Amino acid sequence: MRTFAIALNTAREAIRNKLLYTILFFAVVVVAVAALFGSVSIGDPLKFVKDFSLMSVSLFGVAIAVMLGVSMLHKEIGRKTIYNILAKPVARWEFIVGKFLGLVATLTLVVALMTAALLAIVAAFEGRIDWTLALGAQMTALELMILVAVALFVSAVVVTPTIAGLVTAAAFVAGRCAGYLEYFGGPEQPLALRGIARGLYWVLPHLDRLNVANQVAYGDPVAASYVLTVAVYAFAYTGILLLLAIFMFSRRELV
Amino acid sequence: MGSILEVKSLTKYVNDPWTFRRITLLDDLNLSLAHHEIFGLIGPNGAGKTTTLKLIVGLLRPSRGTVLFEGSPLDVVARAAIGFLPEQPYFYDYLTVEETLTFFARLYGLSGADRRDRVLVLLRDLHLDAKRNAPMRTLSKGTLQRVGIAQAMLARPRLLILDEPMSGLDPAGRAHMRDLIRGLRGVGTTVVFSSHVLPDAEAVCDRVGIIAGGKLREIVSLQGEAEPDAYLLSVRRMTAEALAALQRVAMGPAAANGEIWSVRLPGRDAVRTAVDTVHSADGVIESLMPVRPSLEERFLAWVKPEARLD
Repeated sequence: MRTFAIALNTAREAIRNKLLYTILFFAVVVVAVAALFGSVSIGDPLKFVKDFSLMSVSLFGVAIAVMLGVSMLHKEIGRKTIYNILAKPVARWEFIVGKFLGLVATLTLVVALMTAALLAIVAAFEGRIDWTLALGAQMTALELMILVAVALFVSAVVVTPTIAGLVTAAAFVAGRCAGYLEYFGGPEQPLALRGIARGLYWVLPHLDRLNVANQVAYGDPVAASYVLTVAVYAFAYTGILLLLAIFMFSRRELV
Repeated sequence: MGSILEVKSLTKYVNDPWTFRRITLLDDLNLSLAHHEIFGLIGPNGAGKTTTLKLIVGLLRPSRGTVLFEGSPLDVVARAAIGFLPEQPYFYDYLTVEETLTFFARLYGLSGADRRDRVLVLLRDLHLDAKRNAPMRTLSKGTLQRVGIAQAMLARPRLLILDEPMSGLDPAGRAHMRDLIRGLRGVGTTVVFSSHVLPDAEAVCDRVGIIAGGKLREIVSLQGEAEPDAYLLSVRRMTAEALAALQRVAMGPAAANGEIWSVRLPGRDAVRTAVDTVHSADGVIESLMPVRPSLEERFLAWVKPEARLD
């Protein structure tokens, strides 16, 4: 009940944020422009449109996730609205979980809206709805869920929102490149580099595994078992980060 | 009747991140509040009032000491029976007044019709009906303070903690807030509030705690007649010998005003001796009055040394 109330209020705050609509507007514009350019590009125009549009959905989603994920907790503390909440029978874990659920619900809605625009544009070209695009969007939603957990964890530790934002954005970039760590962790590499690479391999979120835009755009099949495995991974990684965020936040003084 | 709130050896210190020096914000505070009491915590800015209240409601962790609510440690569950108004309450500016109260009612676990009824009653009681659909960002300081009180009262709290509830209010707003606090006693609520305005505390409190420099210096009862600090005896037709005898039991030399002499006597025993002396010398007692320092005098007695340190 309390967690739900906080989640609902978090979603309401995000939905009433004008910046969200600005980013959403630009995302739709970019998808439309991609369609326009795709129609005059060399090669298969639809593949270009699908690939570029899925990338846009992901990048704009990431921008919103970082912006909302980092600012929500800092705003609550900075504006002291948190005093009104935590002086009530609300445990700190309920507050963090509520914030997380509200942000994830908002981002899922945002991804759904952008995906609906993408499906409509592609349908206008193809004359049919390509539902495989929705799979790519679902994976993006899982990626954003992890990023929200990262943002909340970093916000629970770091005092400055700018630093929290930079760290979360860096986690996204590093997570997308996590596959390269396998190379640096290989036996032919120096011991120190191997150690660091293997450490990072276990710590960083493997967001590259959640990026199936290419397969979807080029019509390559994505196995159901693969989707299930990465979904389990995403939920497990998110769960562990949330536990850490709750632990750090419960130790934080609200001076 | 036992106490509703018991604070034992409550201490809070922080370490300066640059010098690693320990800074004591609150030092060994002990306090016990009776049911239905109105208790004021008064002190200058930075005395430790807000720290005390934040420690009580659990927004800060004590370095030492305990807070007991109705005999049990004050935990998350116990906060269901406590209302808290933070200093200069901040709200979500994108919500309306009714949405704000509904949100906080959900946090108290109120559901369905009970939640709706409670919100409506508080909107009416705190004269917020006209502002029901107004966004919080458009409200005046006084109205925000009323919303703050309303959110603190949502769960019909047995203990209400108000941090500077009259801060920034105009005279009418202050009078309304005083009436509101007095009225809460009638519905069985114990109230603790902080203030640095003495008349506000004097107007509504049963007892007042003077806090300065992070220490609770003195608790003053404002109910009934407190034991006087001294007695002022005024006499006339006194011989030089009788006056000398009188001055021996007095706190200082006698002051003359025409044919009347006045002395300050330290206690009841001194009064008895002085009265016997006057009667033995065939003198006339003009008046005998207890001397009680005002709350302001008591307050300044503790605060002045702090100010000197500043």
